[in-house]
Amino acid sequence: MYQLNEQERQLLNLYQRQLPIQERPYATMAEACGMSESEVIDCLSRWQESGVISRIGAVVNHQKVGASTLAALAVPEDEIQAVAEQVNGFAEVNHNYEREHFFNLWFVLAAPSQQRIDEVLEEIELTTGLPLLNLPMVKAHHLDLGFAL
Amino acid sequence: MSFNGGSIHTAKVDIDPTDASGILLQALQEGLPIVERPYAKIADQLGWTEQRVIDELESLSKSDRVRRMGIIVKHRALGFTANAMVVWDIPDDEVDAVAERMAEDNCVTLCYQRPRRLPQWPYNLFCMIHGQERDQVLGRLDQLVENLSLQQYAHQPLFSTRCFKQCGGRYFRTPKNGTADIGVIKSEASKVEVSSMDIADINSKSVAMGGAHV
Repeated sequence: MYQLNEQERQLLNLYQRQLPIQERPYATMAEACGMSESEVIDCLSRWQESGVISRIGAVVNHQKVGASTLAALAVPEDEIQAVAEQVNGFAEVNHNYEREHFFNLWFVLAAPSQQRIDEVLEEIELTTGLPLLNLPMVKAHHLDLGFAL
Repeated sequence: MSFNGGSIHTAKVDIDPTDASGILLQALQEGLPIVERPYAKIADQLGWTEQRVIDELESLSKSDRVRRMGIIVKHRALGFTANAMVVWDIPDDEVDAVAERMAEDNCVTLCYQRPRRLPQWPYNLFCMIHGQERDQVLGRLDQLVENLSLQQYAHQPLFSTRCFKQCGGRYFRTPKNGTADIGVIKSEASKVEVSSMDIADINSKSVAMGGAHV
C-alpha cells in the first residue's frame, strides 16, 4: 500500500496553486520540500501513472475566458452506466459523478465558448432523451484552489 | 424536456485557438510535461522559445485567466472518498451573506451560487465538503449548519457514489487523445493509504494554502 511521506505531502500541499514558472520548476519545488529534482520528477511521474494526481495543469478561470457549467440528468438506475458513458463521450465533459438524488448524474462541462456549451447540452438531451438541469455559476464565493492533505 | 431558462453566466471572452494564449492552453490540456525543463519541451512542440512560453503563462496567471497552475490531485485516490455536494435553498436577499460566511468555513472547499430551476430544483447555493468517511462529512455539515445558524433552510447533501470521469478542461480536440481518465473509478479501487499525519487536519487548509502563495 502506498503511503505519503512528509516530503511528498508537503509537495502536494505547496504546489497545487502556483507552480514555479521558471526554467526548472521541479528543481525549485524539490528544494522547498527537501527532495532532489529527480526525486520530484520520479514522484510526480509515478503519481500521474497510478492516478494519484490527474496532471500538472492549468485551471482556466471561466469567469474571464471560455465557458463552463454544471449539469445534471435524472437517469433510471439500471441505465446509469450506459448514460454515463454517453455523457463521457463528449470531450467537453471533464467531471462526471453519480450522486444520491433523483438527479443522479452530475457533470461539469468546459468549452472555448458559451455557444459550444449550449450545443453540447442540447446534444446530450437529444442523445439521452432525459430531463437535464443546466446550472451555470452565478457567483463564486470560494474557488477551487486545491486541496489540503 | 428541459427546465432551463437559458444561461445566466456568460464569460466575456471566448478561448481563441489561434491566438497565443489559446495555443498555449491547448498545448497544456494534457498536462505539463514532467521533465527537467517542461516549458522548453512545450516550446519545442509549438516552435516557440522557452521564454515566450514562460511569459505567456505568467500573463495568463497575472490576468487571472488561469485561476491556478499546479498539481491537480485526485482526492479519491488519496483517501478522500466521501465527498458531498451540499445544496441549499437560501432566500435571495440573504444568499450573498450566507455564502460569504460559508466560504470562510474550514470544511468547505468550493462555494458557488447557481440558479434555481423551479419546480424541479429549488436550491441556489452549492458547497463541497470532502472527508474520509461519510459520517465525518455529515458531522462537518451539522457543525456548519450550527455555526451559520442555517437550521431553518432546506438543504441536502448529495454524496457521490461513483466517479465516471475526472480530467481537466479539454477546449480543443486533440488527435492523440480526447478521452484521458475516462472510465469508472471505484472508490476503493484506487484508494491510497494516507498516514494519520496526512488525515489529521483538513482544517489546516488555510495554512496549507497560504504556503502555496508566492
